[in-house]
Amino acid sequence: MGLTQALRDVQDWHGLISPEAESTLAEIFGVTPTEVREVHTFYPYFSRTQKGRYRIDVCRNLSCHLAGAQAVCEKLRAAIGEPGRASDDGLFSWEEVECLGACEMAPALSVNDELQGAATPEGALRLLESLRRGEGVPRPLDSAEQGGFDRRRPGPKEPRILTEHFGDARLRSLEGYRAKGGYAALWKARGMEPAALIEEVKRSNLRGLGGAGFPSGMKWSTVPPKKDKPHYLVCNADESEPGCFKDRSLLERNPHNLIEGMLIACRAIQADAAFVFIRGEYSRQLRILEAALEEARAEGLLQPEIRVVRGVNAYISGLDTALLETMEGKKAWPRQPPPFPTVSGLLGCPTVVNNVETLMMLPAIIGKGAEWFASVGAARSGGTAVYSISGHVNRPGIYEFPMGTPLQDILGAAGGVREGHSLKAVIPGGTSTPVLTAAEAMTAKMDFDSLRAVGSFLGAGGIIVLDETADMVEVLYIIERFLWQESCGQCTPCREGSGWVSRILKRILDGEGTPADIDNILRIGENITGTVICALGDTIGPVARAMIQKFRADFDRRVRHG
Amino acid sequence: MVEGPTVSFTLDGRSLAAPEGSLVIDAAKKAGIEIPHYCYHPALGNPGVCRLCLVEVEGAPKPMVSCRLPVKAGMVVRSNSPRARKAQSSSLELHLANHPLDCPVCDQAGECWLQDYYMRYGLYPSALREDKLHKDKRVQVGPRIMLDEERCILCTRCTRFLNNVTKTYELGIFNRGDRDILQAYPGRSVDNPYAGNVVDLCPVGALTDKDFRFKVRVWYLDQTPSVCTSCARGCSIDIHSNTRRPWHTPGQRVARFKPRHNPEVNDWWMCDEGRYSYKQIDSPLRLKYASTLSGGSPVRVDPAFAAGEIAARLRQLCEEKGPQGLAVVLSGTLSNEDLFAARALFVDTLNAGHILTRPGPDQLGSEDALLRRKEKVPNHRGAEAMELGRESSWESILSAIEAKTVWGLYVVDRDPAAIWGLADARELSGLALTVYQGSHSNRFAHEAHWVLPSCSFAEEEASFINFEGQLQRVSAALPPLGESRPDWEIWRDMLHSLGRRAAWDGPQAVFKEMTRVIPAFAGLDWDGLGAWGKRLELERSPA
Repeated sequence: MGLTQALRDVQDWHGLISPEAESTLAEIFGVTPTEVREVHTFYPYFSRTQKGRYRIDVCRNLSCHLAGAQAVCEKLRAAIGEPGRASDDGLFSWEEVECLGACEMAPALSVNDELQGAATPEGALRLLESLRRGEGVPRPLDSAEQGGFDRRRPGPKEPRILTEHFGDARLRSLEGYRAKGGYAALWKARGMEPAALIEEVKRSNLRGLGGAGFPSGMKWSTVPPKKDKPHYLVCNADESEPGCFKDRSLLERNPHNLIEGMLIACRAIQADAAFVFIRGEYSRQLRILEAALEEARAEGLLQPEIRVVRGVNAYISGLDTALLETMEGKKAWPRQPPPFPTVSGLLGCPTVVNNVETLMMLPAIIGKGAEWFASVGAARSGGTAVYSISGHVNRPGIYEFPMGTPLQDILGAAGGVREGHSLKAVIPGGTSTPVLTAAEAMTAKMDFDSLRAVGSFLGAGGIIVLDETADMVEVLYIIERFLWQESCGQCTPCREGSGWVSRILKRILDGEGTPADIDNILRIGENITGTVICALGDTIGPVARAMIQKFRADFDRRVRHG
Repeated sequence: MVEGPTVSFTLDGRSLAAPEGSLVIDAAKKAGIEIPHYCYHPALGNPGVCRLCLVEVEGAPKPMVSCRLPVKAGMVVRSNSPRARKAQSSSLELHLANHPLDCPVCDQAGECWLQDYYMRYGLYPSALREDKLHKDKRVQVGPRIMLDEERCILCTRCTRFLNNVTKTYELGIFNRGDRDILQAYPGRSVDNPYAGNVVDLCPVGALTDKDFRFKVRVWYLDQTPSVCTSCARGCSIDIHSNTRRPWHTPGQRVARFKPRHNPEVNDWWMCDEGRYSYKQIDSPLRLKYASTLSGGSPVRVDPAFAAGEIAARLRQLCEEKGPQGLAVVLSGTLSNEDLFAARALFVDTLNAGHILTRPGPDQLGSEDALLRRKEKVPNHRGAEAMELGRESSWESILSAIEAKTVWGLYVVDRDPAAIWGLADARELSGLALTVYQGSHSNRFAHEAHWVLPSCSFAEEEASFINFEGQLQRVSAALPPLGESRPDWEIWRDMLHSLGRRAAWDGPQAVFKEMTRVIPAFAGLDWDGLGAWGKRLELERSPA
């Protein structure tokens, strides 16, 4: 463990990873320079060429693209030069990146991993000027200041578990969290046997909210009885699915809720240590979490200790086994279970990896009881889910609703489709989930099983709304390009197929497509599905198929008329 | 996965028995069913990254990689069903999507797993309209190893070999996704003593051997199982010889050595020292004809005539001056059959006073923990087992020569002039008889009264015992060069001319007699040695 963290420090300090740094790190970590290079060249965050003192990242993914990210990029290109290298004065470098986890601020832009809110071409130029004047990186935006969350009062039928007190900035402190009843559930949990805790969570119908929807209690119960090896809990805060940003807000507004949830989970699985693996771009959330942990530590709450590990801006690291590889200082090449992480995870020890939101549900489950939690949700999905809503919608942000809430209600809470436009499609759970037509969206219910029944997934609840202006060929290209860029390259079908599909789509966008190309995309996608190691590769085909089948006219128009 | 008791399961409609938990791909191979694969290698593990060995498992929703699929009792697996074939051919199509398909100029053609599998499992029409990704096509990653980055399918076999077997880490897979690239770490070169194995491991034309490439197409080569004679490990090898297109490798009948899997000796590997020792077989130093000194210059003579003359001279001198004055230098370069014949001639018949068999400084080199042994001869254990008796040393023979108690020196394969540091082999010309017998010439051969050419191990059938006591056979890959003959045959003829009966019509006959006479060989059977040989119970080799 630690190589990726050390590489981060070197990159941030020197602006590149030099061969000398490779040798030094190799010596420190007892590996070879070849291995160090294999690791750091895997993560585009690390660079072998000098980056500027201010590293500007512009998100080019779907929501940001729809909101005009390209115009921002063009301005930066004119002002700084080609992406990926330092300007002549060494001050700036800029890059187009895949999703910064700030879709509600689209187009999102960050400077040295500090999120700057919605960017405009002119705003980007003003930013460069202020940096040039030496005014430093502007204070990152608070999601509350962006109006980034639901301010409705919940009705009796729609309790909010995690976002109830989001309007209150004091919630961030231990004192403020306690004032809302925080940490009471932890004391209750500590009076319970681990097996009883697991039973309670099983009965609550809590399912993994990172995207897979696996029953959490069931996952915990696969941890073997404690023997000679330590047990670990890892909180997956590597939220990277385009369209999802709820974990960012949850970490930022309600960090103690996560800490309490983690401590409860630690008791249930008898963990000896716990980690939060937080995505690299969430630097503000990292600081807030560290501060909250410090408060909890000072009060002696951290039993066991919770440490924060910073990710390296790679989507694949969000997959549990790839995350463990990154934590161990390696390339994020997913492992192939069995054994599952609960049996052999971090450093070969039993490890439970749970998403931020999943863990945050635990205090409510223990505090109010499994039955109450289960009653809030749908049949086999207990409690609520926190949705990230972005795209062509009036009030993008995060919204918490009980499992099973109609998608239409959620869209209504976010103010509906932007003025003067009509709904064309909805991506319900992040760009990895197959698209729904407007008609499907009007009847869809948001929970794991309901969406599965209509051929899509709840994913991590990243709802992207598309109105009639969206060109589905372009939308699919952006989604497939993301999977291509983030494909880890370990297994052949995904490595080769993701690029192939993307390049065909690009050719269609460039007016060089034929009807046979559309069928070929479907065929390649189908061939990849089910033959790959992890879920990333298994996404390539289904998202293309849904998009092409449901919006064939957009594709036919492109190949006929260029 | 721990392997359990033998259970039965069904593969392609056949009921197979295999240990529970063993891999389906292995069980299939044992049953003669090849499931296509690239990344899996029995000695390098099953990363499951190429996704080619996909099979259909009854009850499983998706095809599974058979290299990571443990055998379970009663499971039903299909490797040739339409679904399995579809999965394999899809995976193959994606392997080839960015492959340059430059087979006409690729040296791997003919032994390329992409080609072979395409013909067997692919045969789909190309649907690719995009430009292929371009990478560097000519990178020298080691003194003898060339890398074509475009052809690489990123199966990680080479890096796993360099990381886990040699632990030298010269190559890495850098970057991510389809930007992945196999490269040497800057300043590093794949020059470890086992580097050549990465070429054998590469299933495609990404890593090729500079020494071999562009010389002869592999389909012109013949393969003969043999044993490397470069050191006492005796790695199992295949000799790849080119006799069908000799003009492609002028003067070199052997195109290359390849390691042959033998879990008792070398596993899957061989060292570069051994690998490139094939050049010795047709080296310009090879002796092709028998000769004798006449007026100070060598004159070509018929080898049978020479053998007869030498035998007569040996008997005459032994009778006149006593056999204790004959010094014979033999060694582990000789096969068991040769050494047995030497024993019959020099010990049983002539009773020579000095016999040397141990490896001397000229036959010792460096060794390591993987394969390479310090004794650079294949059969020093055979020489021990043959119990030739009276072990001399180079020093004692030299002092005997200086004391003029030795009148004759009969040397096989070695150069006493070099070992004794003589400025000139002529310093030995005072002896009544000097004979050099060997496959290659040396300084001593230039001045010896008689020179007899013997054939190389690639030109005869014979057996060797490696340092651990593994008895292995070699087969003749080539006819003997010139008028060279197996050593045992030369000595058999000498025995005949001395009136001794030695009814050996071939090496098997010599071997058969050994099994009666030499205790270590008791009960052995030439044909029963098999491809991997047999382990003999020998006494510990003296250090």
